[in-house]
Amino acid sequence: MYKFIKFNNYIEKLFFFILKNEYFKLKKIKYNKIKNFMLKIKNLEVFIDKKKILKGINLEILSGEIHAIMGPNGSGKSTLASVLAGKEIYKITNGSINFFKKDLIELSPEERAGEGIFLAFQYPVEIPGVSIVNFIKTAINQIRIYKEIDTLDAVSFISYMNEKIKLINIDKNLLNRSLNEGFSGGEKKKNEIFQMAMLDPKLIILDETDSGLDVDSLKEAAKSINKLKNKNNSIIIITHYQRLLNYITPDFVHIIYNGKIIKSGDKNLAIKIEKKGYNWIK
Amino acid sequence: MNKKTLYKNIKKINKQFDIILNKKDNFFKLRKKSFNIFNKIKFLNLKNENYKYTPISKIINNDFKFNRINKKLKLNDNKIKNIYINIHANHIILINGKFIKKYSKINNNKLYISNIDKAYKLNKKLFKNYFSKYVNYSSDFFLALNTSLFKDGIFIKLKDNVIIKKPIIIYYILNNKNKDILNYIRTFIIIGENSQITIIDYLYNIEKKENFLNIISEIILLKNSNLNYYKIQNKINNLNKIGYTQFYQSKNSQLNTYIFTLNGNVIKNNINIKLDAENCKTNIYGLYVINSNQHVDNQTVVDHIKPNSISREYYKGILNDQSTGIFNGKIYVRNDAQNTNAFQSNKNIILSEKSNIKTKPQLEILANDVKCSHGATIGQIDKNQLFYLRSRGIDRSKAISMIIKAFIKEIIEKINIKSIKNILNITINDKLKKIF
Repeated sequence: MYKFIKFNNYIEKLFFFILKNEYFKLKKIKYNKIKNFMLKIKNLEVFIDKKKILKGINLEILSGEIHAIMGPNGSGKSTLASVLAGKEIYKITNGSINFFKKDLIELSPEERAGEGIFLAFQYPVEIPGVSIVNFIKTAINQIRIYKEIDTLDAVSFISYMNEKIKLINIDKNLLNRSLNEGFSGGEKKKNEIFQMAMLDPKLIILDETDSGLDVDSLKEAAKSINKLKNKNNSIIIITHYQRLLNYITPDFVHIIYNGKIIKSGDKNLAIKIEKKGYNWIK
Repeated sequence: MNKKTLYKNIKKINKQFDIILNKKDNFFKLRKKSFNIFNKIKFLNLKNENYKYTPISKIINNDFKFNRINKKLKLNDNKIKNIYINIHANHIILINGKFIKKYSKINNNKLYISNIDKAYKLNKKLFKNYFSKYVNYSSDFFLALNTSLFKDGIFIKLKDNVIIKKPIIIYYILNNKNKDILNYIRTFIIIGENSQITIIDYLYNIEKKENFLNIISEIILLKNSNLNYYKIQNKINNLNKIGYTQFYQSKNSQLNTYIFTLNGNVIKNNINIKLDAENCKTNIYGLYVINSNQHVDNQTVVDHIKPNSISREYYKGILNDQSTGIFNGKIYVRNDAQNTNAFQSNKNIILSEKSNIKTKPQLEILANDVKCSHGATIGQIDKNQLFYLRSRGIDRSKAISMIIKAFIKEIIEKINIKSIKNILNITINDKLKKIF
């Protein structure tokens, strides 16, 4: 609206400039109060051994949003995912991560899970001898203890689990086996999604969930993930390719390159990457 | 090594021999022979491969007292009640090496049980053929010592063609209120042709004083027989033990032997298996979970003498604090042992910087058509596995417990008797709690 006002002198211009800024500041504060900031990453710098991988990441995610993070190999995508989950080999040298206003850097991996963060691993590790059912029951109850709510007894747990088995259409036989032992790539990803359904996290980080999956498995996985999505949880999809984003529609797409987010946009940005590659942004 | 204490101890041993140097003794010749050998070995040759890493000098140097006079053979009723394992079994109680019929509960007439002296008269042929025949006492100080000086002991014979469902539990109870008592025990067991049974060795150091146990068990499996043999070593706080178990397998016999070391001070487990016939099967399962200053030394020798036999060895260990361990598995495949199938594996997890394990597989293969493989690993808790569990909300100590339990599950799940599994799991869970 100020475009149509003719400024008589620079003082008037300055006056309106200040007014505009205050207006938008107020609007932003109101905006913040209305929306729930789930994740706020500010100027995050991360080293592994002596190499700097993340060189100042800034990212804000609200409840209910889906953000895609795309980038070429070595850009720092998986590092970001691991740092959010709390992997201890990474050293945070600068910046902050806040999850619903809590300082995430202070929290251990198990505490982060208690707060509602879930990382679906790209290469889930095998733990022979640990049954999936026993493992997920322990996890659920430990998180409930963290949240100071009652744990599930055997009967409640089984009915809860059966609900989720139906919801995401996973083979019950898979669950009687040892954690990821001898699982195919697709089975491992399915197991990650099963855990997601059981733990009901607030922030789901999908670390290259599409890698190693054929088209049908990919559609299946996306279908299940979409079923789990609601207005209270958010998803970060880390991927190279645009494929998965055909089935899970992101609200925002960020391009990460050489440890920094260099461009953000909507889903069309992903389509552009698919057509042109990453070189045009560099 | 303190020379004074050493010679003092040799003198004591010599004195003991004088005491039993009785020509009327059933085993006089054997004792004299082994004692001469014992004297020749002079004292423990610490450079001996088998004892290189095991702190035997610690035990030898103590001013130990011999427990030949068999004191303290009475136990009050409450104590003995708490010791019995609560399953239907044949319970054989030995206190300080002596078979005590009063406390034992045996209800099977196909089992003959007595002390070794008494047994000799009725089983002269068996003794001639098998007793002390395969125990190589000419090479080992402690074997020679035991063979020279053993008293009482226990003899068990299972008749031919008998399948006994109820296991035998042999309670080796050491009741010593003082420390530095030297106990030595001899066991001789015959499993008859076509017969089957389970035997459980349950070691118990009641007063938990630091004592020394030198035990030799000889177990002979006759043709087509089947034995499950468990050695449970968890109630042995502060005990130093040098144990030697010699198995002899005849044609078509099957052996499953399990050895669990969860406590003790310095524990040496020697298992020796002679497969002296065709179509023998043998499985050895070993598990050691040790902490603080505990030391366990596991030696196995599997000797394939004839063709077509199968042997499998699985040893797993968890070491914490400053505990130390050794695994040395020898497999011999003799000239005639064609079509032998032998497997050996030793896996270890180290939980602290100060603990260590030395593992050494040794294969000596003379036949040319065999299948032998072996493997050994030493590692820490897998960091990726740990992170995976923690990222799901499972706290660090619980996650480590889960990983350790998963690791030892392979051995524990092979146990066929629930009560034994429970006893072991209780001790293991207690130890896991102490990790943090």
